Amino acid sequence: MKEKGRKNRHLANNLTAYGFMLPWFIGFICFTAFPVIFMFFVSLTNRRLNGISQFIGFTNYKNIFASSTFRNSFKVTIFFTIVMMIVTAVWALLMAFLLNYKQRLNGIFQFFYFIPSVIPSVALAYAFRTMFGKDAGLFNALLSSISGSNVRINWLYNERTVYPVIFFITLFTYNTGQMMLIFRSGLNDVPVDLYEAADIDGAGFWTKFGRITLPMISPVILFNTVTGSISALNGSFALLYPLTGDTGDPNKMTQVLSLLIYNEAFSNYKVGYGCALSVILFLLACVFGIALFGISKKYVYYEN
Amino acid sequence: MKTKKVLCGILLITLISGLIIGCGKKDGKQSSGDDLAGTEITLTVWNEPNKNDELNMYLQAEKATGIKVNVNVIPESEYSSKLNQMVATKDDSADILIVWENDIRNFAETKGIIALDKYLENSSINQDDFIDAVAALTEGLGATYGLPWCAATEILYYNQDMFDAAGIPYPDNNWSYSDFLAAAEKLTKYNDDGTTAVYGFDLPNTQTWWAGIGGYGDKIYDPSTGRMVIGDGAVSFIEDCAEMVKKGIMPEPSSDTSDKFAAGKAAMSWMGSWNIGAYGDKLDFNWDIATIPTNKIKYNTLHTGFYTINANSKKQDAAWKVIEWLMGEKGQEINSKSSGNPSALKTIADKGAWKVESATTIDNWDAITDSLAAGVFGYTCLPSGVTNNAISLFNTALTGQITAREAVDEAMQYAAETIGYSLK
Amino acid sequence: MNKKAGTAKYKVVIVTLIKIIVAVIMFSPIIWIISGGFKTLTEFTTSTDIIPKKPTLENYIYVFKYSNFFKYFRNTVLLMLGTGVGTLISSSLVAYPLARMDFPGKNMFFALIIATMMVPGIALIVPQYIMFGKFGWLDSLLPMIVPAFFAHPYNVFLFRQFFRSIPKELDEAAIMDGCSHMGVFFRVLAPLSKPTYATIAILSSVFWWNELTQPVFYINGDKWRTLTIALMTSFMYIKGNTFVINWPTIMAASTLMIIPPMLLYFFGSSYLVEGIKTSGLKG
Repeated sequence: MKEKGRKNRHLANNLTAYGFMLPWFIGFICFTAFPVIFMFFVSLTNRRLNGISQFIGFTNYKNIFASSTFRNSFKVTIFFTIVMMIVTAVWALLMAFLLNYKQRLNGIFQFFYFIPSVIPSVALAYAFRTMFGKDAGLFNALLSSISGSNVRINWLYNERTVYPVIFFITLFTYNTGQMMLIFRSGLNDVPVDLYEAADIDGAGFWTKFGRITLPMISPVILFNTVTGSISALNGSFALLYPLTGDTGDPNKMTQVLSLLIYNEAFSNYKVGYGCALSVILFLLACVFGIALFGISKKYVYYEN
Repeated sequence: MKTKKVLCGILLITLISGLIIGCGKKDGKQSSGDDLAGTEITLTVWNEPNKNDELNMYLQAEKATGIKVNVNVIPESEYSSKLNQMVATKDDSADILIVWENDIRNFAETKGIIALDKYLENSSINQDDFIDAVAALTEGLGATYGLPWCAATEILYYNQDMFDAAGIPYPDNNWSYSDFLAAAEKLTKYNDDGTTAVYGFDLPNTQTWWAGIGGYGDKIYDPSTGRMVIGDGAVSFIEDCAEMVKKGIMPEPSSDTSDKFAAGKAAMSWMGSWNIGAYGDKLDFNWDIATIPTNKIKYNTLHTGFYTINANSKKQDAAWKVIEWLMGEKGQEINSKSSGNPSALKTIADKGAWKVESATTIDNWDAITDSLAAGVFGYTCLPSGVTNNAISLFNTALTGQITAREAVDEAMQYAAETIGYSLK
Repeated sequence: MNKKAGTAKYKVVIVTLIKIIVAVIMFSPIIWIISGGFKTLTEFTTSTDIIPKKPTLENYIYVFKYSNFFKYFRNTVLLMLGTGVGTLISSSLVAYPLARMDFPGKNMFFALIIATMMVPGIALIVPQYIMFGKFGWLDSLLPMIVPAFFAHPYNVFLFRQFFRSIPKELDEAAIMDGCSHMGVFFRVLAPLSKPTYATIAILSSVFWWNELTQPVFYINGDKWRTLTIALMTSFMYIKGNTFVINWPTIMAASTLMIIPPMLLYFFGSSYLVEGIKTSGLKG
């Protein structure tokens, strides 16, 4: 009798828990699991935007790997993701350092440093398209007044300057602001007495940075960089679509996979092909995700 | 007990979300019988309606028919894509779709738009009056699915003040290509350090690139196979442009694109005829138009759009009534007056309402009729992804990152991959 | 000693200088946007002065009078409200058992939630697009609002982290008093977590205010256009000419769009900053 009661209670308890989680079960099945499976099936068809489709096996994948547009886009995606991750992390760390340097006006500085991350990326993209414009761009005007000659660099159309400019612009994304805040709290957690001990030994800034700060915040750095890579995969569309268009100007140098998917599925109406590209992007994200999960298990304590 | 409560909570959430879903679409009010006044229809178009009420044809249509016309503006860059999506998903939010040349056949074949024959029988619209190119475009569909809302062309705009200052005679409609190149060079003004202050010729836009290429003799679009056909002509034209860019006669493509002609920073520009309406008397210099001077043959792309009725629309009769008014004399006249685009109906076009009144500095109105005569449906029949990609490659070639030949080959390759044919 | 004080002072000056330079860099696009909104198209495309020579209000007049600004604003607010309400209810419910209860499969489900956080939304958007098309939800806000009612993994994770920071004794006491789990959730945990709800509401609002990708895919026409899309469409072109980008109008509309996040920072910076910090320990 008693045994049965406990069992019942257990069962009731479990059912309650599952009841609470029901929205997620539904959401997971409808909006994640099903689309993943469905995506794979559609990738095996030549589905067009108007819904007409035919099973064509792995032809899409064969075409994808034969396509120079895809190979270029894949390379650009990996390059963009990794470099953006590094550049934004370094910049965020720099800003966090500056803000953690105790001064009175830090609140105001944080406002200036942080605000660009929470404004619409499309507004930023248009601002930068004109700031880096050729004829009436702010940067050319600045360079002109410094150098005294008429500088007319076509920043976003020149193969040599386009990447530096794009990565400069990624410093203004949500990701950077978020990293900065996390670095700030990471830096605050470094015990002060470690620095004091180093001071007594007469260590300089770089020694302290290399010997104390870096090792102490390395889990945060690792974590930030890998989360950054996911954000880069996901957020590149909202930044690059208004900035360089879905053709990824110039010469497809900025056509990341998300732009290519949009282009193929909605400009060329090749939805089946777009799905095959999505499968590849999904797998790519899985690789990054597994890396993150592995690392975070080691360094970040979900279970305490 | 607890479980029940939980289930209740879940039910509530599902209910709320269900309610929200249910609230999504509910404009399925069926119009009944003859009394169409007071119905509300939606029309999709890529241009903002004229801000002047007298020249806003949709507003005037509303006044004349008593049917409220909501205008749904989708910008040109994604117009074709969004319309395809709407048709594919049987969207009923728009009743009248103005459909582009490259889409009408596909929409008709997939039954996204309805045949208008039953309406046309009892209407005063004379289909024999349409310019010939339009009829050819929809040949073989077995019925009439759309009515052309205008016939726009591409023309050369030039700044007369700059021509005067440089002592160059104004261009006429038979201006030669070499004269044009020479004039562009002569009209360019440089700063002391060698950078350009005023360009002789503005960068062709996504439309007029094709005029230059077609003018060199390339076919561009082959209606019998649906392929993109460019080659030596495209290479030559890109090379001409690259040469001009190198000399500073033409601006490079850049992220902060702007209308250099309107800003007085370029002496000549190739653009659509509808800019006449947009410029009107707003430019602070004298300007005129001429036929685009091309190298081998006179070439420019005809532009139109077809008034069609969404097959999923629940207000087809009201939609037709509005279309009928827009295709009628008054509707066509207002369209011409506000845009500068002639009507596709020959008898109406002959009346010349497209000679935009506010564009007082234009003398050479013949440029429009001359261009119309040479106009063909070209690149507009190709999928927009293919042409956008080609333009992106041409622009890349201008900055010297790839050669003109590479750009053309790659554009052809991409077109083959996308449309689905082999180049061999 | 004296020398050390000297270097310290020197250091302060250097650091302050760097700080100011970084601040100028970070704020330059915002200044550029605000200044551009008051220029005419001709001035914008010919001059780089920060203070316009002939300041004009024509761009704002255009935005307010000739575009459907208020409609886009309404749509954006509806989107924020719908997704906000949805995710607050559903995500906190889902987070409760993960933070407070023991049941079979808990760790697996949690791992799955973390795993789905790693999947970039853009990878699934095409199949979702087809699916929502079948439901007839395209060209409306539903593809974005409805999923919010079924728990965003991201927010579930946040709620769980916050719930765990609340002393467990409180709800254990409530259970002792005969409270059900539903009761614990609504009477104990939820009221104690008001700041958490505020934080997630703010984070979610910021996200949807800025979101471009999903509206680009799901919204076709003018009816449900959000402000971010309008920036790429309605505010972009001047009348009749779709090849001339109307930069100053974009800047004017952008100015209006960056005001709310700024105000949010002024008035809710603690929620915003704390929330983002915590959410950083996710994906």
